[in-house]
Amino acid sequence: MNDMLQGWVDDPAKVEEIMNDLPFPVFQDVWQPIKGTGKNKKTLLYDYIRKASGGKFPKRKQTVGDCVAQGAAYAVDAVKSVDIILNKEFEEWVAETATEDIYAGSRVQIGNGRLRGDGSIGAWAARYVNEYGAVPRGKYGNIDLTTYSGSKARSWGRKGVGVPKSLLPIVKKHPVLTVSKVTTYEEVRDLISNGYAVTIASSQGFSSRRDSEGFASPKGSWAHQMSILAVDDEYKRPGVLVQNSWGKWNGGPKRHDQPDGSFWVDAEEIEKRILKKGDSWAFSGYEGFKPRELNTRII
Amino acid sequence: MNNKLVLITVLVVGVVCYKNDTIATPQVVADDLKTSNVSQVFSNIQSKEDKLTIYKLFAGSAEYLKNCKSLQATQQFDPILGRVQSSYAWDREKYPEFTDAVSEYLVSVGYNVPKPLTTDEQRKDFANIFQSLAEATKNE
Repeated sequence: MNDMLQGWVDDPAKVEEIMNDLPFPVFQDVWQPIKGTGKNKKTLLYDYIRKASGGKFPKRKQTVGDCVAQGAAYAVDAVKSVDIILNKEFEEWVAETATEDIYAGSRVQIGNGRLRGDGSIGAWAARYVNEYGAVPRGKYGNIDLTTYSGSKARSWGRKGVGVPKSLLPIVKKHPVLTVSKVTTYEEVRDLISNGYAVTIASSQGFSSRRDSEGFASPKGSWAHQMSILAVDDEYKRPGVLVQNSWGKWNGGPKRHDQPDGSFWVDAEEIEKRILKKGDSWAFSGYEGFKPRELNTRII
Repeated sequence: MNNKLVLITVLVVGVVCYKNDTIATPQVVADDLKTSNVSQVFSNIQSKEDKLTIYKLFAGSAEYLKNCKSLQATQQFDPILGRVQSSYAWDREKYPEFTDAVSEYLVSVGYNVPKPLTTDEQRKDFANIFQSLAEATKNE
């Protein structure tokens, strides 16, 4: 796979910097109340996204090395949908989460322009959506985020540029309320089954061919961030569903009507090969959008 | 699709009720002054067929909303109504003055402000808006 379509930067020291600023940097610290609640359960966050979006599941296909924002945006989509469908918060979907601002915000507003070339760090994106926020695709004054633009993400992500100042006050109204680092399958299992979303980053690649049970085996090396949009701990082969941002890049059998571009990963593989790398993050609670006024010209 | 089918079924029932009622004395909605302008403008519409469709849409909506528990918020209903109107080949704003009158009524009862539909009371209140419109356009 083209390196351009990856973009995660492995930098444990910078992750540590971010963790020093977070109220609950490690999910393990607050895990106790929900520990074990996801055991033998199946939770499909992508179904919540489908329901909340009226069937418009985001089909992300990155064109530059902004995978960190793509993975984080899927997690925001999931949290937003859980708020609407599961928690019945009086909010509306509006549109899939924009990625350009998350990418630029992570690199510039949080990372202070210290990275050269494409790419970002999972912790920076988590910090950005928590300290600033995330917005759905749409027009915000003269800023048009209606359609994904890799070049805009790259341009905004340059040192000294960042998220436009006029957009930041809008973004700040819509933060992800908590972000915490996760490091084990059991944490992820319990989090997902309680409506959290998880975005993951590592250097681990996977096969583009799913096996007969929808799983992809570890293969190759990707410096890449993605998102976990389901967990199935009741199946004979426990695992998580990983959603990639390369469009319809893989093939093979599916389970539970999983979205295109996704694949199941065995529990022990996700923990050993990805979560233990230390840059995977759980998101929960999104300050969403209250429904706008209704059209009264209905007849 | 299920929502649409249920609403269409209710609309068909509405037609039968409407036809049975056409021989009755015209009903004046004296108990709801807010809809009086709707009734008045409705009476200016010449096409009996269109009048029947309008009544069907309002009566069917009221009946559907009384029984439907799948909607979580009021803003979810308009797309359903829109699809049913399309299936009836009904164009919104066909009678602009009537659209104005209905719109004024809807604003006066707070329809324009999105509300949750999570309790029976909320569902009943929302259904009553359309019930009033149905009564205002019945047997004119």
